[in-house]
Amino acid sequence: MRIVYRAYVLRTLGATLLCQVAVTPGVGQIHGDPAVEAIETLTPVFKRNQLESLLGREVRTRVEQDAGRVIDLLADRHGRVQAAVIEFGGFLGIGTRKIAVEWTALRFESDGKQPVLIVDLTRDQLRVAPEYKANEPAVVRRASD
Amino acid sequence: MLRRSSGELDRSVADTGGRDLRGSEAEAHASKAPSRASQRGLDWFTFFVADIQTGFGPFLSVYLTTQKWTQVDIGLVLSIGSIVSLLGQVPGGWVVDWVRSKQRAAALAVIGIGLSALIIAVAPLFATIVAAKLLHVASSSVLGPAVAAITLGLVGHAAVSPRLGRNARFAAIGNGLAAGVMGACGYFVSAQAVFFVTAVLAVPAVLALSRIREADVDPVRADGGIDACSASAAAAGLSRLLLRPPLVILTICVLLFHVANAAMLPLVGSDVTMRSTQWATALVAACIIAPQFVVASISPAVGRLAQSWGRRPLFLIGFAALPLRGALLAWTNDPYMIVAVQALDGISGAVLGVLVPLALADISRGTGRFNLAQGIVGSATGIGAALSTIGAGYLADRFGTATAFAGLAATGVFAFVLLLATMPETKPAE
Repeated sequence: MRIVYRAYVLRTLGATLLCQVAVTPGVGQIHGDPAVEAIETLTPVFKRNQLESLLGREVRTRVEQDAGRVIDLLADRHGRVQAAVIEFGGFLGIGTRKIAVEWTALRFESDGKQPVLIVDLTRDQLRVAPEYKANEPAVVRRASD
Repeated sequence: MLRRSSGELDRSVADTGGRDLRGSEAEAHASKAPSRASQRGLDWFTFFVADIQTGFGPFLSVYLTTQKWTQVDIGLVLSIGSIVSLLGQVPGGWVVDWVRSKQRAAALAVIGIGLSALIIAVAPLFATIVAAKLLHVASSSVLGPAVAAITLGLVGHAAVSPRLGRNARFAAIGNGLAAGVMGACGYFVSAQAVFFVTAVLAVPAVLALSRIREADVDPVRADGGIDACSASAAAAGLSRLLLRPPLVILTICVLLFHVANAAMLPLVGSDVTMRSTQWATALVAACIIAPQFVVASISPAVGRLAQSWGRRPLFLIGFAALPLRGALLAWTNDPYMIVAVQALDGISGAVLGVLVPLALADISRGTGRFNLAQGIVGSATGIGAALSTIGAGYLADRFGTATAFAGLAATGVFAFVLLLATMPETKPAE
């Protein structure tokens, strides 16, 4: 999602405006072009930390520290994200496991300055969750109640 | 990269006065023992070569994940790497036979790997990673045979067996240490740091290589006996080599061995990750590092015994350890037991690590094609590993991990029986 969004922003505004506080963009030379103005109203700028990048993001469980990394997102036919694929375990990349976790089981929490992606499952629940396979029906682990 | 290196090496041949000197040089070499400095240089060189290869395995995909790469792109880069690697083994061996200075070929290969690691660390874009991967694969296909060629050129056929044992010891220490250090580095610092460390380690590798005296390595001996550079001798050597049944048998046995072997460790790792609550990372690390301890401790003995017992009994022991390991892994669920069983991997590892280059040196003796023979067996290793991953993955998906281990063990039994029935003793009668 963010990648698509970012592409629009880059095309119209340039990278510097991406993380700035709601500046009204595009006054000046591009003023008067109706196509550009239309895009500007469709590309609101979010504050830093209002939107977060997900791919490659470290995931933590509530109790223990490192629980893995987001490597993919799974969306339904309407484009709504339903699950995140998390890779965890192993050593030097050998023996890692991939599992799909219900999207609503994930959220960002702030630990001081850096927002941390927290999964609402324990390490034990993660490790025994069924393996995610790219070309097979995804088995999604739901959040614990 | 290969073309450029060949050009330089060709020039070096011209600098030293051409090929007609080779015969007399070879005679001079045969009489004198290699210097202590060269022996030490080779020890450290094998150690650092093992170090710089650690980060390029499955860890590359972990690193690319941290760089926000999609699974599709990661899969594509890894597939390109494995296919080119399969195709590159034989040409890599051929190049090592063809060039005169094995050290210079090895040095260029090490620099190529260091450069590749540096590119991966600083520029993780699709095009640069593909280029870095290709550079790594091309360099590795030269480096593998070149290490054995330097060894054979340094000590000659008569003394190569214990020296290969010593190589395997230093390589195993390098592998074990690098896995520990780089694993910790990736875990506590960053995945990127692993590739910076790899690039830096290429420097001591080249330094160690420079300690091996050029004059101590006989280029003709390093090719397995005759001058692979002269056209008629090369053609004769090639047909003689390819028609030797032991080479065909060994290639098939090694292929089957790796069909049974390659998927076992990843499967073990993922099984331990699933079964162990607290110590998963440490236990998977132990599964990787424990066999290296075993290899480091028994390889020199394997090298010595290969001289007194011959090659065949040791081959049989190494091939027998593999199905035993598969069967035990199919049977046990306990993570600590799994680590213990993994020690058996060290027995196979030591035997294959010492005996395969040794048997190839036996078989290719007098053909001038020792390194091409290594390339052929290297391809077999790659094909076997690829088939192993596919086969074991299918079995694990459909029938579970235990069945996958059993399937791998059954393939290992087949490899053992084939070796028992067909592989002759290759140790020359003294």
